[in-house]
Amino acid sequence: MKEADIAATDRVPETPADSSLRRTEEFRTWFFLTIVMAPVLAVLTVAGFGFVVWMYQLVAGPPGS
Amino acid sequence: MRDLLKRYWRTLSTPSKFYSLGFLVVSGFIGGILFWGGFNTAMELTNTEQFCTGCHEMRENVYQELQATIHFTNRSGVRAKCSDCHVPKDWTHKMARKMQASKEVWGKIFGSIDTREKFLEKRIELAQREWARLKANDSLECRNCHDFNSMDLTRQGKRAADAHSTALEQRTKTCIDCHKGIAHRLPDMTHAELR
Repeated sequence: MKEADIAATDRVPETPADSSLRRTEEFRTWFFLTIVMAPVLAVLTVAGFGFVVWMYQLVAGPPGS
Repeated sequence: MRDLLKRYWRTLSTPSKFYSLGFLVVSGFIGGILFWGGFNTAMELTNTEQFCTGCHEMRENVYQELQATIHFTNRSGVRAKCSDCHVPKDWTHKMARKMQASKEVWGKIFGSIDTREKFLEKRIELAQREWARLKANDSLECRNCHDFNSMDLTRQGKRAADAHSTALEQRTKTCIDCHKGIAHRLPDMTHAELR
């Protein structure tokens, strides 16, 4: 395959309809990642950590013992 | 569906065409600040007295008893709220405690102590758990306010001064060993496990 062909297959299609779809998709992806996924993952991580410490304390006794 | 996922995965894994790198970085940064602030605010909220006494199990039992004690009513106007004694300040242990509270939510939903009788029956178990916790951490939550080095033993009663200058100073005993039942009434101690 020639270099120009490789570039062509990688390129995002340039028709106005495709372009507008891509724009919508990018916005939705950004929105989902920033507003939903990152906060939920962060809360789950902290909750999971707290849960693990709790389980550890059930075995090892309360902190300081 | 597969196509949709594929398309969004493509959007996710290739550089943005319509949003600048600057916008994406800054929006992520600001989102992080807002999240952290919101997280801490929510954490603070769950430490308030209103939150704790939001369920009648706490409001009608332990909170009523607290109000008669010196930790609630006193001449100086300083007072302890639930979280001062029952929620560790250290972040790791605080998160662990907040997760333990999920069991309290469970108890609330299924009515583990929804009557005074059930509470009285359970209270020795609940109290002993807190005593064990305070004993293990050398009464850390007491010591957050009460500092042995700042105590003027000459202004204490003889019995208190004797105990504080011996057992407490030598660390053979910790606050909770003697001061059980100071902020809530004691449980029926006939079934207490001696330690």
